[in-house]
Order: sequence, then C-alpha cells, then structure tokens
Amino acid sequence: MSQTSILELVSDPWLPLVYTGIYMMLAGAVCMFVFGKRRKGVRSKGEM
Amino acid sequence: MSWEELIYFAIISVLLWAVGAWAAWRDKVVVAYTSTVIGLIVFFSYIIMMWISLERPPLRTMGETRLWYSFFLPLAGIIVYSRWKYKWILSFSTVLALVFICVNLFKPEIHSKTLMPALQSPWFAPHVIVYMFAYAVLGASTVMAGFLLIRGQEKEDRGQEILDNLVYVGLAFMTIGMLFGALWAKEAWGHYWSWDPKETWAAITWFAYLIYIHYRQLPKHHPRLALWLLIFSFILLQMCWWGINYLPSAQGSSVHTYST
Repeated sequence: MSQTSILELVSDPWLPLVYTGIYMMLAGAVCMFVFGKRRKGVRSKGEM
Repeated sequence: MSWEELIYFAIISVLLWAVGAWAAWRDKVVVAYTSTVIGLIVFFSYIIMMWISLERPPLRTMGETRLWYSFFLPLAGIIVYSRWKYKWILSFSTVLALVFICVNLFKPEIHSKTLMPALQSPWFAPHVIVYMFAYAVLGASTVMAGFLLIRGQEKEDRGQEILDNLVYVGLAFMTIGMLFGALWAKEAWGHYWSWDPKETWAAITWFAYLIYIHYRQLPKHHPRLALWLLIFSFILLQMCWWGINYLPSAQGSSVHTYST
C-alpha cells in the first residue's frame, strides 16, 4: 500500500483542439467502417 | 455462476456453431444463421451471468478477455458470412473460438471479485469490447492471409478483397478503441497519451495495419509481401495484447497492468 497521495492540477489550454482532433478521428474511423468496403471491380489505377 | 459452468455453455455453443459452419458448406443458409445466432446467445448469456455474479464487467483478466474473443469470433464470422456468403468463414471462426474456449477451460485465470478504482468507469466496457472485436476481426484476417499464402493464391482478387475489407473493419474498431482509451485516460490519469508500454505497442500495431492499407493502394505492390505484412502485424498485436507482460521494460511500470 502506498503511503502518499499525489494531487495534480493539469492546465491544458490546447484541450479543445485536441478533443476536436480526437472526435474527427473517431468520425473517420466510423466512416471507414461504414463506407470503406472494397467492392468488386473497383480497383486502384494500374492494379490489373 | 462461475468458471466451472463455462464447459456446459461452451459445449452447447460450439456444437451450435459447428452445425452452422456445416450448414454454410451445404448452402443451408437459414440453418447456418439460426444455429450460429443461437450459439452466440447461449455464449453471451454465460458472459452476462458472469457479469452479474462478479458485479463488474468480465473484462479485467486475460481469461475474461478471451471469453469476449470467443464470442466475437463467430459474431464477426456471421457478419462476414451475411455480407459476402463465404462458405468457409464460419468454420474458421468456430475453430478459432474453440481454441480460445479450450485455453480458458484448461488454463482459467481466476481473479478476485472487486474492480480496482481505475477500472470503475463507464469507459471500461466500450474500450475493451471494441478492442476485442477488432482483435477478432484482425485474427480472422491473419488466418485468411496464411490460408492464401499456403494455397499459393496470393494474387486471387476475391481473397484480397476479403482481406482488405476485414482489415478496414478491424482498423476502424481499433481506432475507436484507442480514441476511447485516450478520452478515458484524460479523465482518469490527466493525460490522453503517456507512452505507457501498452500504449506504445498499441500505436505500433495501429501503424502496422495502416501501412498494410496504404501499401495495398500502391499500383505496383507485391501481394505476397502484403500478406506477410498482415501476419507480421498480428504478431505485433499479440505483443500489445499479452506479450508486454513478459517484457522487462513493462515490469511493474505499465499503468495497463492490472494483475496485482
């Protein structure tokens, strides 16, 4: 058992921006799941 | 409900999944769906009863995460089957689920009842469940990649298409799991990313699958190398999942170690 407790105060002025980024990536992941399917016949250039 | 009862639920579930897998080979689509889904319900009811009797989600120990893995494999299998009607996928998922059930039956890791404070959070269940689903899908993609390599069919379009789709779904869920983890970490530890050994390996795994996806987009890529890349990525994933527990650098220092 630990004998000490540490109280930490964290100031993070960039937090809203980081959260925006995290939610954008979340949206990206959801989009990849929903729309990311590779369909038959759809091929990238030169991949024949 | 305890680990002792797992065997009864497991036998019924595996038998039902096996019937589903057999029905898929015989093109009995309705039987395949019904049997697999009933098997999933039986297995999930065991998980729920464990959840109730433990008074916490069964997600903390390796044994408990394997339980979810055994559940998600046939679930991922039936989703893939419903989407692309591959006859072999249910056999795959059943065998893999059986392997994990056997590990749990012969080597259960039984732990105490209470959840440590850091894990008592609403983020806990989504974070781990999403990851387990991603691992199950990526596990299926690894078996599929090995299958194509052994059969020498690495240039077969249909196989490549399944693999790409599995990796897209797997990476999507992996990303969601990681971001949920970041949001939770900010709340619990004060920072969303602290380069903990588990986080570092999660990042390595994430990049490995990202590299696979981008490599496959290159006009002149080698399909064989792409398959090996996928197998290698899954080895990295194993490091992240349980391998770090044996690494000297993670001994006692990882905030993701909850075994003591």
